[in-house]
Amino acid sequence: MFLAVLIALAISFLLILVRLINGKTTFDRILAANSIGTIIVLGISVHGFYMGRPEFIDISIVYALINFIGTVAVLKLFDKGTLGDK
Amino acid sequence: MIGEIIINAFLVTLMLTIAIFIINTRKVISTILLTGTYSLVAALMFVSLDAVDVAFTEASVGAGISTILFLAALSYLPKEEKEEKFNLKHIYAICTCTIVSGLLIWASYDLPLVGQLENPAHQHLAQDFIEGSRNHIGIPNVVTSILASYRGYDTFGETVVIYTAGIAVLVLLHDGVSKISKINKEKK
Repeated sequence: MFLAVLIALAISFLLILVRLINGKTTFDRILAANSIGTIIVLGISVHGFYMGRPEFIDISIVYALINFIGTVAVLKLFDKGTLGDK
Repeated sequence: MIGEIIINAFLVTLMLTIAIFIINTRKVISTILLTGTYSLVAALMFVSLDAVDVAFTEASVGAGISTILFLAALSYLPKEEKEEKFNLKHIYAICTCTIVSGLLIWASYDLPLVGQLENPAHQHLAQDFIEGSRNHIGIPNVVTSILASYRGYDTFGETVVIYTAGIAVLVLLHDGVSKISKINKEKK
């Protein structure tokens, strides 16, 4: 059951990776990088259950937060041209 | 067991693919995004190897802070990017990399094999830490008790050094940064 989910996540990871490398505009790439972060968060959770140690879910929460901060930083850089130190 | 091997092989292949594309991309912003992705996959690899604390650090420093620092540096760079043709400088760099990596691989043959019981690292202190840390300190996680208590002064010293280095860099660069922003304002 968990293995099937892991395989599905791996396949979607590969598809998003193709998009990240071949993306036409920068926004495609940003979206792809953000989606990869989401896939990793899901992957850690499912991997924890697959290996029988589901207490690692806290890490995936930290990843979700970091992923959010990174995406906001990239988008702010494109919107304002700086990260707010000038 | 086989599932674990397949997962690890998949992750290593992914990291290799991403690394090759990091070398091949010419746009700085794509490189930054790919580097962030690379360190996320590396963190997943650490989780799969049961090194959760290392994965924590890798995710927060590798994927979080360094991506943002790279972006902050990118905002100071000029918008147009210049292509550089293959020249003598690259040949020097390739030679240096090959020689250094060859030396490191040569040196690695002298290391003891990974995971052997009779390795020096497992002989004296590790046993003591694993058996005694719970009673000495009262923290269930051995790594946490080593980092926060046995090596407390070490960690404290590292923090002071990094803080001082940060202050020094700020003091050195502050003047230059304000000059650059003045020049930019005059251009506008």
